[in-house]
Amino acid sequence: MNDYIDALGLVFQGYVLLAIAGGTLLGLIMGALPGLTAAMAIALLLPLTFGMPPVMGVGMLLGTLCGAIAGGSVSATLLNIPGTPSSVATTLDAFPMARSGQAGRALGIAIVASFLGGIFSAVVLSVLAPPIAEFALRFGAPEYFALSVFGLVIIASVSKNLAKGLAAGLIGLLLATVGSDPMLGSPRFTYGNMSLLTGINLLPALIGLFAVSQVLADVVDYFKTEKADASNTPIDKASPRWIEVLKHWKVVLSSSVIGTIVGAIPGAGGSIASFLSYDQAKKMSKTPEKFGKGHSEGIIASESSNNSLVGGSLIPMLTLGVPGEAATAVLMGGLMIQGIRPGPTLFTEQGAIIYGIFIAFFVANIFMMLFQWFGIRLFIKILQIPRKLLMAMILVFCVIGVYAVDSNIFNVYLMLAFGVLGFFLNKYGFGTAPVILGLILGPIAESNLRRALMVSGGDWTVFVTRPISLSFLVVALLFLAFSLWQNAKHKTSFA
Amino acid sequence: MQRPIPEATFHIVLIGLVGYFLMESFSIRGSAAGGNLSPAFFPKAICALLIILLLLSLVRVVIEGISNKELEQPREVSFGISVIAWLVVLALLILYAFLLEPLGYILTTALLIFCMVSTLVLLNKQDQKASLKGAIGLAGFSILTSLAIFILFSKGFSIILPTLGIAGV
Amino acid sequence: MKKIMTTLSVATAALTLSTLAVADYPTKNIEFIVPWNAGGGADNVVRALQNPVEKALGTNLVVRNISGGGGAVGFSTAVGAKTDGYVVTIPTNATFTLEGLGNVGFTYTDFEYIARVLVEPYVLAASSQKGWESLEEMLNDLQENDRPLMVGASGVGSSTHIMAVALAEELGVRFEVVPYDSGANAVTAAMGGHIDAVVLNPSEVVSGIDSGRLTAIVTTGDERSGALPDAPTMLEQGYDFSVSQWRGVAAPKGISQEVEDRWVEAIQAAVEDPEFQRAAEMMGSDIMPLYGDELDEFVENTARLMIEEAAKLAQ
Repeated sequence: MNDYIDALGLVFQGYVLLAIAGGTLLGLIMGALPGLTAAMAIALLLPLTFGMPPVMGVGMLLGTLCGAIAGGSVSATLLNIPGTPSSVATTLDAFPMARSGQAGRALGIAIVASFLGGIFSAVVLSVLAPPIAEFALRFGAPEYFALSVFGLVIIASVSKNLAKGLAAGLIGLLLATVGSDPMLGSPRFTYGNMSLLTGINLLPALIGLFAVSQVLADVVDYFKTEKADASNTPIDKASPRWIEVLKHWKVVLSSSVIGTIVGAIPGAGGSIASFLSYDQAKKMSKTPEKFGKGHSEGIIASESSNNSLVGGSLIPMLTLGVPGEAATAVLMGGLMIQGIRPGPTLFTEQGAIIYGIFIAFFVANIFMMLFQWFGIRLFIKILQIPRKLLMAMILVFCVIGVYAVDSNIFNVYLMLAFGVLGFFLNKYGFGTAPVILGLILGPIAESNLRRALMVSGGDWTVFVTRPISLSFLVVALLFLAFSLWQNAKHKTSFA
Repeated sequence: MQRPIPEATFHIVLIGLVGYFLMESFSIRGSAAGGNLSPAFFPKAICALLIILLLLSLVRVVIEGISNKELEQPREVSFGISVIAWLVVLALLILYAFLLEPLGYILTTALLIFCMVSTLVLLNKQDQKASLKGAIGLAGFSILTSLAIFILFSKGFSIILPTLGIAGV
Repeated sequence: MKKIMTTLSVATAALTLSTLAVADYPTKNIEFIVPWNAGGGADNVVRALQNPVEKALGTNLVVRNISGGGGAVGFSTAVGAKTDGYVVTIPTNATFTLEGLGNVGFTYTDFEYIARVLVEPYVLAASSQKGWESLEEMLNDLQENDRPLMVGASGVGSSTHIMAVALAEELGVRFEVVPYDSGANAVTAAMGGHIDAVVLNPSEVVSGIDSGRLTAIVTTGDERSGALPDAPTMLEQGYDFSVSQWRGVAAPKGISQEVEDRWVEAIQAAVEDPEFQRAAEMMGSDIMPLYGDELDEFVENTARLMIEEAAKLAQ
């Protein structure tokens, strides 16, 4: 208890709060730009935190992390550009809603849902971190494989036409096999290109499939619309929609639970959490046919889940010293430079600091919500830029975003190729979200399947004799059946 | 289905590409040791499944195309122009990626914005007439935007961008 | 006339500047290429070095993450950079293993090695569920049951993978090396008891050892690691085997002696910086700087071993 009081004293100081606010703001800006990831934002601020007291420095980095994830939803909503992989599911409903003249409502829902998801994960982090970490350790290769199969089943749910959706998912899986084989290192489809040795980078694929393809479609559209400049689309009132979101509290809660738990399993491909929640919300919903056309429940599910992911991903990092993905890895570097070694001893030996980190995380979430609340009117102004200028600027930001990831021009070409692919996939009803799911889950599924067989000595029964693995596979089957039934009921054709 | 022929063509292109991947996957080295799967297993399995699904979808497109033949809509007048615009924009982007490193960020970006927007203006009959004043305004906008982004990224985010090496541009 | 005068004075100014440029190195920002994404071990080291080196050199270090190909793209970019000393990179054992695996166009001799800064041994850490307290217990158990040891490494072809293979050879037992996507994932699997052990660097296993989920069996350094003072080295256990992961500073071959000297001074100052020392300790690395001929000898020995082992794996 004393630790908590000390911790409050560490956080509630003018400079500390200012640092957290600054970090959050930078995160929001970088997250909203395509290509700039949370990991890059944190790495950028890292040297600044050296001279700071631990809670102040870590608080600033936590703010950056929260902000970057939340910022991703702004560009996803307004421009169909998922700023981060976890906001892909947000584009499914938020962008159609924004296009129908309700951009303010879409952003308002996203802000509230993100905030609630973030706060939920902050509570779980401060109360339940050690037992959840213990649970995450029970995941071996068979469990990761089963989890990724479970994730792949979502393709059926986000496809408008099952055969085409599955084909798009398989295209993603196929492209995911490019690069060195994960177990033996044999090059596959690399054609001697060094940049392809580690596989297709997710970001160029993501930005190509979503943003570039969207601009290419807009170019065609530009000559079709009566009035060439749609800059005067009516825009509704931009403000947070507390009541609308709270009405769907069940969606918020279940999505936050999914986000926190998936986030807590290191290397589970955290960005699938928002898809899992989206899928789950669609299955629970009374109006599943509205999903994908600008439905509020879809935005709520995706947004509350991807912000609860942040708190979840801090669990294994703080309790086990194992960062689940790039952003928490940089954050862990930041902690170590501060002289804090993550792991179980952190809780027993440096109580005040760990509780200070928890409180700073709460504060960061509050700042994130406030900044978005005030910023929402500013964000929405983007839509008033004349369309021909906006299209050019989006492309410029896409190119620089992808180039900035690793200063590798090859990725820019890769992005353009994905842009063309995405354009045609959308035009002929295949969709691009399944490709991303395939790309994210493919490597996890393949490497863990083969790893599991390696450890078991070629025994395939490991997948059904281990309880967690078995239950994921069974639930995946049930979900698949349910999706097929739901699609049939709402007349989604198979072939 | 408004345009079954392009859609069928897209299917065939995809099938061709996947077929190529399938062929290539036979030359992936590395064998399956100890009851495990070989590195080529997944690519082969995915390709095979993908071809089946695409064929299935192709058959449906063709059947629908035949039964709805009369329903096929005449192409809009603007169709040709939009295809040209689409190709020009894509060509500009490829050129942009190609020139980005040799010519530096600011110059190429300004050129891209200028060329792309003027393409859209010139090709669009509904848009206001192209004028010298408009062109100068656009040039100014292109340069300012490109400069602003350059400063934001290089100073704000400490990201190194390619430069021409003359006067810091 | 006035025009000629201006031209002349500009020319003189330019001339003075260019002569000064060498003596006054550095006059502009220095680009530090990290061939991996932000958040990796090497990236953390460079970011920890950033402040003290900037202070010593009096200029800004701009960290540039050029990832791809497990370091291949970034190292290739660094090799191809101008030799004016404004582009440097962070050499590690990966610089050598990439060459051994045969996927890159450069060799380790294409770099001018300026300094070795940090050293961390490889450590074989077993899951505590196995109940092994020492190398001897582990080896006896493996021989009695005649089963291979399931060992996690941080990626196919990574230096930890190569080291695991080399360790098995040296110890004379069978290792089944299971490559993971990252060191973190391998550690998680070992902590959960899904595999028997990992071969990684101390920073990645320290938390697991603190929590009692992992037991350090043996390390590969010349001396015991500061992060794992209780773990014996291979040398202590009677094996003639000593290899460590290291991180330093290198530039493309052909930089001037002045530039190299300036950097050596800067690194000498940086390793005395208390903040850097604290960061290195937390990262589980030992500060063991090496410069000049001693460094060249070290690079030569390490490179030969790593390239040889990696080439075996590539077959």
